[in-house]
Amino acid sequence: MVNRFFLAVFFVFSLSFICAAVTSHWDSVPSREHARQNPFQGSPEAVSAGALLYRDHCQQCHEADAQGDGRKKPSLHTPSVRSASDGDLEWFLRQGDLRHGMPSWSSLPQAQRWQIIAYLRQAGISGRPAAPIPDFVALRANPRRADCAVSFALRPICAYHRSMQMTSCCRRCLFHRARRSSA
Amino acid sequence: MNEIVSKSCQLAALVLLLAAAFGLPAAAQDKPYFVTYTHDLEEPGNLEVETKSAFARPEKGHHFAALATELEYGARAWWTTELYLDGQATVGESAIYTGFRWENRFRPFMHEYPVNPVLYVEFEDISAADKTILEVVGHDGEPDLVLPNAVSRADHQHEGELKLILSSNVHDWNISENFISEKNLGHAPWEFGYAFAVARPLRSAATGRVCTLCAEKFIAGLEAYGGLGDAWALTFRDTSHYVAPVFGWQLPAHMRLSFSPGFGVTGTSMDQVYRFGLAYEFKDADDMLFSPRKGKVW
Repeated sequence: MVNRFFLAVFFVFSLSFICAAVTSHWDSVPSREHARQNPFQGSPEAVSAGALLYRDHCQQCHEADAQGDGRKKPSLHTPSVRSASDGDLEWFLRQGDLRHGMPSWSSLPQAQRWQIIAYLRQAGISGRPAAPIPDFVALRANPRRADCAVSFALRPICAYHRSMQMTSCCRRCLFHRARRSSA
Repeated sequence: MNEIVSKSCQLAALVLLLAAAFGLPAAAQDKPYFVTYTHDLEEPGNLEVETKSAFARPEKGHHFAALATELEYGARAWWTTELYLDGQATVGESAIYTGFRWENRFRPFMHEYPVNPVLYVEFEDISAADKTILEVVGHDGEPDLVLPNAVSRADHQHEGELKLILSSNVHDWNISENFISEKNLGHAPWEFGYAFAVARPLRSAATGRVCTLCAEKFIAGLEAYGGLGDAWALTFRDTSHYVAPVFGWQLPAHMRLSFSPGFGVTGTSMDQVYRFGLAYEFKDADDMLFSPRKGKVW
C-alpha cells in the first residue's frame, strides 16, 4: 500500500517536471499581450533612444553587446528571447522576474520599454534577420553618415559619443565590432 | 539658518555642475517622493546613497535644518534594505545626531498587478529631537519641533514601524498609498498615519540623444501625508497634515535631485516645509563589497 502511494507521488512529480520542461517561458504571457505590436517598430529615433535606455538600465546586467558574461550576467542572445514576440518582451520587462534577480521595469514609461525593444530588435536579438552590417574595411576607409547610423544603433557607446564627429563615432564603433569579431 | 541654506545650495550647485560636466549615464527614473514609498525597489546589487533634508521654522521655535542620510541596498529584486542616519541643526541651539533607522521592504508577490503591495518593517532608535519628518503619525505636530535640543535629545525612543505600501503604475502615472502604524516599544499606544502620492514624467518617450534637460528627465507630482491619531484616540483632532508638490530631476552620473515645498493644512502643522533630496547610485555595489554572486535570469 505504501509502495503504491510513493509510486503515485513519484509519477505526479515526474509528470510535473516533464510538463515544466516542455513549456515555453512565454506560455504564461496572456494572448492579448503576446499579440501586441511595437508602435516604434522601424523608427530610427526609437532605436537611438532605446540604445541609450539600454545603456542606462540593461547594460549593467546584460553587457553592452547583450551577450552577458556567461556567469552572473545573462545573455539575451538565446533562443528563448529570439522566439519571443515584441508583446512578450514588453510584458516581461513590465513584470520582471523577481525570483531570479530581474527587476520589474514597470516604473519606466511604456513608450521607453518599447524603445528598448526596438533597439534590441535592431541589435539582432530577434527571430528576424538582423540589420545589415556594413563592411568594416570599406567603412574604415570612407566612413559615411548612413553607415554610422547603423553602427550607432548597434553600439550604445556610439550614442554616448554622438556629439562627437560622426567619423570618430564610426571608428569607435568599428573598433569595438572588429575586436568582437576577432574574439 | 541662512548660512545653512546657503551652504546647502552651494553644495547642490557644485554637484549639479560636476554631473552636467561629466555627462555620464543616468540611473532609473525613481520617484521624487520624500514620505511616500512605491513598489519600486532598488535593483539587486545596487547601493543608493541619498540625503533627504528638511528646512522649516515652527511658529514658536527656531529655524532648523534636518538631514537624513539613506543607504539603500537592493538585497534581492524583491527585497530592499535601508539604513538611515538622522541629524539636525537648529539655529541658536546646536547641531546633533538624532539616531538611526533600519528598514526593510519586501514584495510578497513576484508579478506586477494593478495594485502592488509591499510590506515594510522598520526599527528606529532615535531621540525626540529628530526633525527629519520622514513620516507623520499619531498626534505629531508643530509643538514637538519647538522643544530645545538640550531637552529633547535626552528622550530616546525605540520604535517599531509597519507599513502597508500599495502602489500602481498606470499609463505612466505612479499612484502610491501608504498606511503607517508605529509603536513605541515602551508603554505607548500604536500610532497611525498615511501617505499618498501621484507622479508622472513630463515626457514618456525618450529622445535619442544624450541630454540633461530633456523633458523625460523631469518628473512632477503631488504628495499628501499626515497623522490619523493613535489606538487610544483614533481621530483627526490635533493631527498634522501636509500637501506637497514634488519635483524630480534625473541627472547624469547616476544622480537624482528632488525638491518639495510642503504646506501644512491644519492648525498643528507647520506652515511650510522645504525639502531637498540628492541621490547617487552605485551600480554593482555587491561586487565591490562581496564576492560576485551567481545568478541567472531564465
